[in-house]
Amino acid sequence: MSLLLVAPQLVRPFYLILIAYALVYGISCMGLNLLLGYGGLLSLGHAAYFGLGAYTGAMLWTFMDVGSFELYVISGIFVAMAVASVFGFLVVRATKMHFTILTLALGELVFSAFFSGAVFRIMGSHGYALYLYGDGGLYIPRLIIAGVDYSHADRIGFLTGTYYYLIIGVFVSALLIMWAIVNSNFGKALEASRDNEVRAKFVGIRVAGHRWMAYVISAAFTSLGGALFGELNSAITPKHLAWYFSAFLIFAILLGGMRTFLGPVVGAFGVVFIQDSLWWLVGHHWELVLGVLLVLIALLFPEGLLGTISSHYRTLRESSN
Amino acid sequence: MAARRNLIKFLGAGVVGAAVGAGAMMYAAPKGAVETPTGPKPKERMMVPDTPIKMGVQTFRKGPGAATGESLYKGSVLAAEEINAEGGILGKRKLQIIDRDEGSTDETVKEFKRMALEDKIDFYIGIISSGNTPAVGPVAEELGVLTLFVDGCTDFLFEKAVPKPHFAFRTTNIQSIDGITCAIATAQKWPNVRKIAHIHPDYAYGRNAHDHFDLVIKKSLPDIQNVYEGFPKLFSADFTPHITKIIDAKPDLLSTSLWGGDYITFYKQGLAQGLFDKMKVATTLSHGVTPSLLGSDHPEGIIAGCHANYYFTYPRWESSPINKRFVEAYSKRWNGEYPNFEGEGAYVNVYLYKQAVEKAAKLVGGWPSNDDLIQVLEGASIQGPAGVVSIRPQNHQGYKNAVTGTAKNSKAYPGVSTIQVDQVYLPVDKLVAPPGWKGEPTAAFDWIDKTWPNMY
Repeated sequence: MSLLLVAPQLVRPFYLILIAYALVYGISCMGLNLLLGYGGLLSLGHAAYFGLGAYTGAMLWTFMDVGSFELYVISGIFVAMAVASVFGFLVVRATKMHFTILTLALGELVFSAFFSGAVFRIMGSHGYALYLYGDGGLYIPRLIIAGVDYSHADRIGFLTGTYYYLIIGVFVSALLIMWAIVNSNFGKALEASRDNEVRAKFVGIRVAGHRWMAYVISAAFTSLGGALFGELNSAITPKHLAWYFSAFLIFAILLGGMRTFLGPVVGAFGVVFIQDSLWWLVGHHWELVLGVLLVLIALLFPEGLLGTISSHYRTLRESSN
Repeated sequence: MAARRNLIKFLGAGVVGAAVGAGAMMYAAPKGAVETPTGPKPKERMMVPDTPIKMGVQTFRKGPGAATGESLYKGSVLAAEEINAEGGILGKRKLQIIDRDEGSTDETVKEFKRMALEDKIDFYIGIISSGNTPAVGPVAEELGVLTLFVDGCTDFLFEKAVPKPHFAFRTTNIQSIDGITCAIATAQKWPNVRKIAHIHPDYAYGRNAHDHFDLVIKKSLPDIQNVYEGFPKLFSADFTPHITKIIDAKPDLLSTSLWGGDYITFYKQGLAQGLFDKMKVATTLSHGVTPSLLGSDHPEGIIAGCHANYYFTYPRWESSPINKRFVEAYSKRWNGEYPNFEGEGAYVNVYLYKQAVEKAAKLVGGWPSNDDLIQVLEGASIQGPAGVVSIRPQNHQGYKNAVTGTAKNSKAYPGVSTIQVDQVYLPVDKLVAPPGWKGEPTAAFDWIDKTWPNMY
């Protein structure tokens, strides 16, 4: 943590911005992992919540001139949770592959609403023009944070200063809240339903209710990451609602390790920096090499990077005892 | 016929006006306002650093976009090498190219940030996709990078994403001109078409081309009926379902804005199903790829669009020494390849930067700042291989007369099977809204909708 805090003094701006990207992905991955790692449910539709987190506030700014960062974030989380409450009600009735297919289908519904322009049409001719000629993407300016207007501040100074520390603050808060959730009775019940659904029901756990709750909380965290991402990236596009963006988040979780609390965060850092380093090593062929590398990591570290390290550490400790 | 007469009259007046305007601009503008890329070498008379100028270049260099985008890289390299061979800008500062990939919007913005923050480029040239300029434009403004977009020509960029540009400029014609030019050429060439099918890539460019073509063709010809509208995803590999439906709809004409590798795939699949024998075809961008990539099987007689910007055979070499010199130099540098409009656009942008530095340096008596350059670039004109490009100070957008033509198989140019002939050359002032015009979905659309008469 202290490394993150002193990073602005040690790291060049471009890489500090990459760290900020890793942190916001980390928040979303943490949220998604509540379902995957603790609930044993693979969702391929969480990109929808990531996108909603940024699109809601971006639309408020674009069409209603709402420039408050706090409203931007809160509205995004609120809409994502509202949608997740409805979708969650439907998907928790299924498990395993059926759950995944349902989340994929519902996620693609949201994606299509943006990709086809249906959402923009609601905003009238201006909205439809924005969709037609802007590829469905929306620009997100520097917003007003705690009453301070940053719209004329130096962009890099803002991203590597105020906004970087704000992301760290939100990240740490999210981390602590998630820690409390997974270690609560609710978290333990969720793990129990993952390990043996029948037994969990037998001991009185309302499995569907717990899964619904986990789904909504998970959507809230994912959308929080999405909202922070939008401001960091200055733009949000329909791509961030598509299933392959869900796959990107899942890959980060698997890379770090889904059965460890910090695995998704480590995975987010891993994906961001592996992707970036490859450019320097292999130039235009980076995507090809990334594919090979991902296969190798999946085969060699099935528990993820952090998962493998912790299991080795456990083995060493047990053998020394 | 009355429709055709009215259209020709309308455009004829424009052509004459444009010719007079261009002539007036060439001769009446202040000395040096219109310069050729081979203008006089400035005297070394001021403090000029001897460090290289870092020029960021970003384009598609792999995947289906590379068929169009590779030429952008090659055009900028050619210009940089020519300038460096003469000792560099102001005879001292050579150009160093920092080459980065264009990709998805996020990847493109990320690489742009890397160029600005890590490579610390002095200026930037690039972008093919109109999905990417609206994302890169605001970032360029925020990071203060002098940005000369070659393409990514969506009207959206300067109408909505960056309505008050300072650092960002663009030199290729705006996107709406593409659909408008194609529709006018269609009405001129085939005044009897009535039933039209559409196939366009499903993103900003395809939507724009469809809407502007549709608006103008309905103003130009009577009783137009759209019998099919298809919007396949960009970089699709299979167009056969659309082709089958298009043939089934029995249109007189197919309007398409497919481009790059998509267009090549489409025409080959269309040939297999006999599409080109069953209808007339009008394209906005068939001849936007690197010319050697269209095969000898390419159908003749279609309206062969080149993004309403440039095709290497036009302006005719006999009457345009600058185009002849550019094409020959490009071909020699790149193993017999010919440039497309992206190559020409990048070449012109590098020389536009050089021209701006030389002019601003004279004014400030030293190496100019970005703000000095911007003042010179606002309202600047440059004579490129395609003709004169003039930048409107109000929106930083470059305008040049629009061109399209007819496809013909030819052996006149080694390595190129299909060329563009019978060019239609349209005055740009007749195709775009006057400065300051606001409207939805684009200023051009609204202006045409409200001011153009029905020409039949």
